[in-house]
Amino acid sequence: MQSAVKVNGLSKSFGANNRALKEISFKISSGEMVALIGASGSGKSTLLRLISGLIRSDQLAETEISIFGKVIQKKGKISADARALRSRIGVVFQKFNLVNRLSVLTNVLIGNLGSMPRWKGNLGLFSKAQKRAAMHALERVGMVRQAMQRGSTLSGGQQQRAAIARSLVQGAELLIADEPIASLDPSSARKVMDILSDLNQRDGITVMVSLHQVEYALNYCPRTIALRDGEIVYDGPSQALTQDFLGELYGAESEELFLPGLSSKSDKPVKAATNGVAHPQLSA
Amino acid sequence: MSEIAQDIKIPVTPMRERLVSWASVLIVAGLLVWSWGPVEMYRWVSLFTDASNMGEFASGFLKPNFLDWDIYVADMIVTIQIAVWGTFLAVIVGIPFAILSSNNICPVWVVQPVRRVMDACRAINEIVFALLFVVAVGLGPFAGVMALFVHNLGVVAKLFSESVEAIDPQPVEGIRATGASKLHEIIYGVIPQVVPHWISFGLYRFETNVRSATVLGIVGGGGIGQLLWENIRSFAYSETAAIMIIIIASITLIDLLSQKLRKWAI
Repeated sequence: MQSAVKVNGLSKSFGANNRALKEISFKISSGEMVALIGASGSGKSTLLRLISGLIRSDQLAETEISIFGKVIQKKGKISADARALRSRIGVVFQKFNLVNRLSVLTNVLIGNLGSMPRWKGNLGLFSKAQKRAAMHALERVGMVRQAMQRGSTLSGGQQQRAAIARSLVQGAELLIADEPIASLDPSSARKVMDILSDLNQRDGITVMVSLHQVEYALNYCPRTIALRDGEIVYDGPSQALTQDFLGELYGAESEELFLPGLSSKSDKPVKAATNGVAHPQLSA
Repeated sequence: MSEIAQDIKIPVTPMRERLVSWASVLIVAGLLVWSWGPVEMYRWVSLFTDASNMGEFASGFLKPNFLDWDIYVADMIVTIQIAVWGTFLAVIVGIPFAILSSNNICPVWVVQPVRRVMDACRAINEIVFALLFVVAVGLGPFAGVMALFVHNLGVVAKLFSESVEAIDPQPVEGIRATGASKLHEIIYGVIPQVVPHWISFGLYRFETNVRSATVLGIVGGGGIGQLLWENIRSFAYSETAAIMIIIIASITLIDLLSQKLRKWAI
């Protein structure tokens, strides 16, 4: 199977003494849904921003990130095709990154900019078909009624769903979600994760999602990559991540990775993971 | 009680701070003394010795003569029209220059030269530009429009770029991540964020420009300034008073209106 993401010897430092990532390598196949977990400061966001080509890595000889077999950055230099590649990558941010003063529909239409003639984009000339596709994307995330509202009038969960609709319109083949549910209440969080999982299952979009809480990784993602202090400490099936194992990996920090109220019962997360009714991909 | 009084120490303002405040007072006093002679401030007594002249002068203004009000109003309207075009051109041309002089959008080797040119536009008063344009394009309102345009270009570029530099970068990053071009980022990410500020600044500049346009006529730049100047020079104080009242009324009206609009824009 073609690899969607291939990361080789990736390091990133901020200043002389702050190494956020230390020579990380991994591969994600097309169609996978992978969780990236770790305490705050472990390098999750940095890794995702590097993969989407928004920041540059350290200039080491072996450093290379490729998306669908094409290099997006190499040895700390963003490749010339980065713009074209970015249009195949949908990025969903913790803070949603919508333009508040534009309507939800316009925010979603922005997803078309990478793949239409530039002058048309500059003048805001979106075609009927593009508008219809945007409305379908909004329908998919349950936001049709809010299409003409300004971004600023939406709740956090709605803004995040609009941001996902933008990635859908973009025709993203890889969806990178950086803590998409960290600023959301539990029910909105579940809705957003359901949508991501649905996109993965039905449309075959590769999803890479960083999460703060292990429960969501267990529930939604068959595979988990765990980071600690800029290094991969675990890469494998999510089911193996029992609380004891996480305690081993993270020590005292593991407390941070569980939802309050569930952390006292170590069997809860595992039970949730084997619950095959809601998420059949985990029982397979 | 007495024990406490002896125990606790009252903090004293440090010597350095006291020296700094005394030095600032001395500097201001020094500046005032230095400028006294050259600006002939010693003539202040004439305000009292020539009080009768002043009284006569002022009494002329007490009987405004509105006989030619229609001419005054027509010229005031031209004055406002000069400000309308001057502001419009400055805003339209100022937007690209504002973007080019914003540190968070353009590299320093673009920002610095553009800013210096804008500084030069701003540094020279409208009246001076009007004098130059009267020579270049001839007497009349068009010279006034050009004068306002060039001076305000510098002002608008500076004000607009300050709001561009204060935007939230996250939505822009969101747009970049979709594979959009740099220009798309500006159109969809930057401009929607700054438009309310730009409208507000633009209206404020319009208010200021109507005020500036009332004197452009003195140097031949069109508008009501010419009438004003002619009447003052021919000691026609009643007519001067009428013109001034019309100017005050128009400017008050425009200020109130634009204040309302600015509130609505933000």
